Amino acid sequence: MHRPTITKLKSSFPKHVLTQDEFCDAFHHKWYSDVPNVRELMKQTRVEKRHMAWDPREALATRSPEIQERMAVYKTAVLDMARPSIAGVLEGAPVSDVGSFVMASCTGYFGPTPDLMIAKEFQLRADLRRTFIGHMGCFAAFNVLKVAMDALAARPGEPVLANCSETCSLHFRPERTREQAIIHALFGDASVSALISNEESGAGVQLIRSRTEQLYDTHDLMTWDILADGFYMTLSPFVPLIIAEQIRGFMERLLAPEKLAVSDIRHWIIHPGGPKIVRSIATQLRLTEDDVEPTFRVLRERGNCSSGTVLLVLEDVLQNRKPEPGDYGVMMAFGPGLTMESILVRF
Amino acid sequence: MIDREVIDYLKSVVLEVNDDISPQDIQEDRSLVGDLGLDSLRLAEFVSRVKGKYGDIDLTDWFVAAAREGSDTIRDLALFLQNASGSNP
Repeated sequence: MHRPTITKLKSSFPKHVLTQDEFCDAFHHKWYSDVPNVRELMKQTRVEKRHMAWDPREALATRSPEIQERMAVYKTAVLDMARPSIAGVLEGAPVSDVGSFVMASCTGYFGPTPDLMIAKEFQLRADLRRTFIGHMGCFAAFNVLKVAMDALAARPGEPVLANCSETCSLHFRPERTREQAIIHALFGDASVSALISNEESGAGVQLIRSRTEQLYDTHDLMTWDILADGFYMTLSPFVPLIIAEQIRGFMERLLAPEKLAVSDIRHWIIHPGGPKIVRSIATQLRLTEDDVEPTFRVLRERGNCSSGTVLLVLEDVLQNRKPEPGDYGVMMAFGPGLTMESILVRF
Repeated sequence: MIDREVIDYLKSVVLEVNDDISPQDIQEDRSLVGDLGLDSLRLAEFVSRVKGKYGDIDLTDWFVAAAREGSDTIRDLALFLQNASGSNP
């Protein structure tokens, strides 16, 4: 049976790389001197290094740039970062067949949106259907994939180009709180592209079924607002606890229509929002260390790169776990809303 | 009526997860996050231990209420646990 299938997946990163020690050394005295045990706090994120669109040691050395300057950097950086991953999935592909392009980015704004600039550069069809998904946060890869699934249902023969590109590092701001120290220690930058088309099983990662749930009463517990000198994230410490409490029922509602149970899932592709939420989910679903290793490997080596991170975990699973044909996997991510997103996949 | 055993148990768990605080500072009407030093990591450990004792009680409603400023007290949690477990209808 033909299903929407990720046939190609490629990541790319900006050139600056900072270890957690380098970041902490640079900003410990400058920003966080009033935060007790900040070095230990940053280590507890389990992030060891991150790629960044700019070097914050230079960009933020003497001041906190205004939003106008940050958006000017984004305008160039998001395209520079996305270009290799887009080229990677389009290489050897029938580019003139690509009928839709859907892109997510919540870390910058300009218009025409970045997807237009990318489509122009790669000479995609002039009648291309473009969708740009902005400001939805860490779960936006699921919005991208769901648009792709809908597009392939409507136009089964037209492959969909998909991309998530985030420059989280452009929004580090001086603020002497534990909450912001954790956020600054957690986020990195990345771009991930995918080519999705209707294929028989065995041709890639089949997208079987998605499920979304919103917890409306929690809308103010995780926010992403625009300030004069950057975007500003707030995160209640209760968010991981709420999601962990909901996760088993959420998974059962994803899997039951396919007559599957949690125990049938061989590969877990969990967004590395932070170590505690991953641990809590693993506990609730009775997952092993091996089950969550891809998630923690991405967290260690890339940080939380917002929307594209779950696709980095999928890339890691494909490279390091080498799923057998027919294996089931579950992708999941969470973000403002609170919103829980998931997709059942078959390899 | 609030169960003092529950209050005392919750106070003891706060002490277990935050060794920077002295017992006399742990008052039942103080905020776990704002006053008693439970950051996200300590809060997760606190909840893990409480759930270990109270098992299958769904804490979502308390989490949502507690996330609002000042509603995350030991007293509020004790009342929630009592009501949820049916020990104080």
